[in-house]
Amino acid sequence: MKRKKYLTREEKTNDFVIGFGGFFVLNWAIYSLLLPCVTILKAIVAHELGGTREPIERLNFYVMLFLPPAVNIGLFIFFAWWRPRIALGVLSALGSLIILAILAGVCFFLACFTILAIASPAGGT
Amino acid sequence: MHPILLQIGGLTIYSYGVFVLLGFSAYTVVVFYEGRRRGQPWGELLILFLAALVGSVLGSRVVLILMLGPEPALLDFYTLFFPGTTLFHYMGMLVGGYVGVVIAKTSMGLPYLVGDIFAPALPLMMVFVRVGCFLGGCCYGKPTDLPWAIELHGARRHPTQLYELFFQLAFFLLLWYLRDRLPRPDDLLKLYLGSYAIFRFFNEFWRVNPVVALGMTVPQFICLGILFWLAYVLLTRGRGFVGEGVWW
Repeated sequence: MKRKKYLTREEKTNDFVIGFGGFFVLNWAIYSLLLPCVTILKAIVAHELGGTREPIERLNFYVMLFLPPAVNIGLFIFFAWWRPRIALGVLSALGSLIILAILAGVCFFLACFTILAIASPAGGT
Repeated sequence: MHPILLQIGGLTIYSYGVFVLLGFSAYTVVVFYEGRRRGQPWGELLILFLAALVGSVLGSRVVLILMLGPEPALLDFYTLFFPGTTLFHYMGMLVGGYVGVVIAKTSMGLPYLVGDIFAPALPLMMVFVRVGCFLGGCCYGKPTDLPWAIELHGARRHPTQLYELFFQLAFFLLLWYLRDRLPRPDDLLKLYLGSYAIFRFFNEFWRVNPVVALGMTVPQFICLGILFWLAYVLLTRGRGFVGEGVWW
């Protein structure tokens, strides 16, 4: 597969929009499909972590949790070499969401990972 | 400890979030200022900035999973974007951000090193973040009787947040002074990474972090990894291998 060479500004813009919009569409679809399964399995695993549940339930849970980052990062790296402007769109979508989360973070209690540290002796950043 | 900065009506503004935002803003300003000063085109600079940001958040999450285990809240990709669960780990941010920039550079085919653009911005960001940690009451140290110990979580402890704050402030000033005084590109970033890895390795002995193996914590293993990698780069640079290469 050859790396796309952009000749016009319109081509660049189109690919960027595909990447930016595609990120939200793809993740909405993944999230909608996985959410019910993950919610059920999350409840099972949360109660039975270290317990006697069938390993296959945990395996399904972890596979489903690993699917979104694997798809997102895999596609991003694939597009970075094939159609870089699509990758840039994906990167911008990810970056925008993270910046929004940081901005909104001033109104949410968060001290490093104190939330999780309550359950473990870990410290912070 | 002063986790709540202020309350405006029903709205609570938390110290840690505010200082993370201040740190991120300062980092952004310095990265773009340095990038433009070094003649980096806007388009490339924006891509590198975004790649570093996304890489650092993902790297942060990987380190937290290594430290705390496969907690469902950590494994869920979408919690990266929920305010209040955007959990940071600086060692993970450094490694992830570096990898993110390398991927972006490789993808764009940039034939030069860009680490020095980020070098002074990193310690400046961490100065603000550590103030947030101090006020938020996290990243604290082990109990001690030293005269400068602070009362936190029911004991007098090492103020490890402040140790790091002073280190980061000193290094920001040093790197700012050295910006145009080091002979080779990327030396500024490598100086910071190496110095921080040494500092953090020892600071971990005073911090409350879970020991995973050989009496060491996950951040200490990452510090050793960074130091070995830097040693390899510095040793091979003179022979025209990695250091003369394009991507590292």
